[in-house]
Amino acid sequence: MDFARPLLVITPTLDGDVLAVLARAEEEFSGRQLHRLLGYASEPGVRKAVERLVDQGVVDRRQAGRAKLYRLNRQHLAAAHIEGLANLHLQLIARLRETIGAWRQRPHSAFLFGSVARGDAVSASDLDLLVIRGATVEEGADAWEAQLAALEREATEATGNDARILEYGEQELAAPEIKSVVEEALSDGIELFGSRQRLRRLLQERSG
Amino acid sequence: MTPTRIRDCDGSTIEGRLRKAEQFLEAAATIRDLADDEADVGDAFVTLCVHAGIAASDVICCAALGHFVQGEDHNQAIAELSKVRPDGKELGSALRALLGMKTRAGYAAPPVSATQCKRAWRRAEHLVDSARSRRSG
Repeated sequence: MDFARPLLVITPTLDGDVLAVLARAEEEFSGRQLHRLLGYASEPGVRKAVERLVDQGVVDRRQAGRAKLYRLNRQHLAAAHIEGLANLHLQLIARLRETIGAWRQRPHSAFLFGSVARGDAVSASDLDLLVIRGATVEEGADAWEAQLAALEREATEATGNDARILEYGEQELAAPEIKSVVEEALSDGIELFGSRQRLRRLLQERSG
Repeated sequence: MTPTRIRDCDGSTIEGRLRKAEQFLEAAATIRDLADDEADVGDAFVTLCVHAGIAASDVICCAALGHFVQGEDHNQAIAELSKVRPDGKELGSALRALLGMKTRAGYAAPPVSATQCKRAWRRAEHLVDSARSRRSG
């Protein structure tokens, strides 16, 4: 999926992107504001799209002086579904946290990083996960490996993006090439398990 | 009092405010870790958590609304954040609680308690995490 344009999973039209913007806030937007928030397409194109949605009853329009203001009609039967689609990235994060939180062999920490974490991943982007293996977990242990494989499969199936897990043991963090990946995750990543502060401390300890 | 203004924002505002939110949160964690006794730095710690929460709220508002509230009108800032779906009400409550600690930590004579430090951290961390999760989504 395209994380910046989640409604592409059901429609390739601009209407889907307009709905995503409207769904993310209980607020009225002018055509110009919608265009600015979308950050692409033409303003007349955005206005036409939102008027099509008014015709469907899923968007309410109000005249305010010379301006037309639009908001999602949250009483519409489709509103809850649209809001769910608009926030797929939040659901992904919640699902990954739940899965890793239920592991019997817990990691030191886990992060979603790269373009998916930044929210600019397109459908061809990989879904990058960093998992730091705790000191008590043996490298290659069957139960641990099974957890990683299940996570990779679940994340791929949930999004259509190829999930890629970078797994390192605590003792490996001193290596410069690994340190740089971990620093990237610390900079842009989203915590799925453990905490940034804890991983940063570990990195400092291992770097001497 | 600084006049309250609604400020339009773009991608660079979002990235800039997010970096500040992270910087304040990280600074809060650092002074806590370096202190011999957490109580010695409680007021500075909470003040940094409040700043982290405010910056994170700006990011969330920018991403969903295209604007944020600049100034000292806390109620308006909370009201704007509460418009964000799906969890704006909860985020607004976190910001309200943090802003409630701002005066006590920054200006009142009695130091903040350890419980208040924990609460401030939890709320600031939640807001910063939410800001990261939706800066482009």
